[in-house]
Amino acid sequence: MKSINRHFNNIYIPFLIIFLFSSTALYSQEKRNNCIECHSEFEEEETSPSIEFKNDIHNSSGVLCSDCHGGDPEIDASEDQELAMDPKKGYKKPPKHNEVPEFCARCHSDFEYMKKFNPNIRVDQYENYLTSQHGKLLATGDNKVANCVSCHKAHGVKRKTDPASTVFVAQIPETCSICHSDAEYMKGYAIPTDQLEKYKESIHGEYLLEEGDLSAPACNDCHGNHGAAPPGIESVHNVCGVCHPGNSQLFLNSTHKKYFEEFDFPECTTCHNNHLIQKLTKESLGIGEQSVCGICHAEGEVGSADAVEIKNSIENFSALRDNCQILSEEAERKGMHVAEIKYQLNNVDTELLKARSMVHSFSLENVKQITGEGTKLALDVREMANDALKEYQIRRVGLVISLFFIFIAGTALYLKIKDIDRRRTK
Amino acid sequence: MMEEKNKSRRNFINYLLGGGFTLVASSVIYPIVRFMLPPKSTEAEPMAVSAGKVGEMHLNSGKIFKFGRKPGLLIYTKQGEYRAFMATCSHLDCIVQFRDDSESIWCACHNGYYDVNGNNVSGPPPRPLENLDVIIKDDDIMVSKIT
Repeated sequence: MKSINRHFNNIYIPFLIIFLFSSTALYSQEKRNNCIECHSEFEEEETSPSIEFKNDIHNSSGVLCSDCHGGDPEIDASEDQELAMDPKKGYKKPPKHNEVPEFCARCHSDFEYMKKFNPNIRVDQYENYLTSQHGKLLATGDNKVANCVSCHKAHGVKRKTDPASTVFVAQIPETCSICHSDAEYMKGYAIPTDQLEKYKESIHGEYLLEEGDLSAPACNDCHGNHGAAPPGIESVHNVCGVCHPGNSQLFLNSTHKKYFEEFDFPECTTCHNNHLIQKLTKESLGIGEQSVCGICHAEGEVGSADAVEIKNSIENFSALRDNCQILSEEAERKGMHVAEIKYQLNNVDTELLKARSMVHSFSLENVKQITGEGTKLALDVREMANDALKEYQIRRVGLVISLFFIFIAGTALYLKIKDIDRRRTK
Repeated sequence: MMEEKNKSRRNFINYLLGGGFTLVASSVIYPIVRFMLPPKSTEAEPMAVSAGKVGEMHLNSGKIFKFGRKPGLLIYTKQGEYRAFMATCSHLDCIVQFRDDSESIWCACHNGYYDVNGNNVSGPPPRPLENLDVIIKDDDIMVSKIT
């Protein structure tokens, strides 16, 4: 037994030490990235490649500088810079602006390579980019248009789910606006530069930027991201219909679809605007100054009477619904049981929303059918609320009457005691 | 001396009677005042309700039930499972309904769809429906808020 132990000590322990040393050396060599080490010596700014790359998704996924730029990261460039960045070792100078998409696509369009990072990863970005307005202009030699790094950064690329990423959903409007809000930079493209300003005032911007609702659309949800382009007139309802399929379908089946096509109106955005999509008010219907119907239908013209009727129908129903709410809240404040009233009010609210949605059918008959049903429900709710308030009044009157009788009885009792006392003293 | 003792005893009894009468009057007046003033808090929302009886629904169907002042949706799936959600759409609070043709939950206001697990799958709803616990107790399908 002792000889076996000695044998083990003499042979295996030195072998184990050599193995551990060699594997450590191998490990440190694998992770050696002399590019960063050397570049860090003269790059000091936060935005310089060697500093930004430390927090880059490529770095954390094990992609080295040399995987994009070539060269040999294992050679200490402080000793031999030319050898480390030798074109014979695959070193390439940083790509020019117009070369960037193709440069990134070497990996990002190669599913065989990319699937090891994520088996469901997309590899169609470059293909989409070529169809985008940016890609098309880049192909014509316009080097001002956005390429991959304009949105994703070059060496500080982060996952789109990282809130610090330039392409995180809530950051996208600001990222696009770097170019699109710069009037000087956009000179010559004949497109407005107030999109961000308008988007911030829109209902979508309010939800995304102020309320933090990440499901609200950013620029890319309507324009596409890698294939970014303004939607064509005929595809606006499809774009809006991704999130609003009900209204889109009603519009498609309406008489207005035909006329909008005839006059080249950009479908949904004709009434709702594009970047400045705001919550509609009661003034938006009818043919008043602020109405969207009034854009096409002047007073007395075809359709104006229906527009006014639709507005009145919805407004009357809405006013009745508000009245129900006021009465139910009053009853609640007075301590009455209003659970059933509030429950039924949910149904009224649903009918009101349906009626507002039905405006997209541009059919007075359809709108009136829903407001009619809703009005019946609302009248029932109002009756229930009024009954609750009546019940409250009855209880109050009952209380006053009973108090009156208690007071009378108390006074009579007092007088009777007094009378008994007086008789006793006599 | 004796007269003074009697006087103080009478005073004591009078005080006792006066105090007692004040307390009795307060016990009548206080509830009246409280009755006249509106309550500080509204009705408490229920934590659990009975959504129906076992056997009254057929497979692949849904029904709306009252969960306090809000509507709830009970689904009896094709696989024979009960599922319950608050029936208010996460978009604009419309009441949703079960559709047996597509085996999904549908909001008629803006054509929003949820799957039978309450997850928003298409249309404007930004979030899933609020999920409720379902417990079968005897013949009752009890539905409660998840705490």
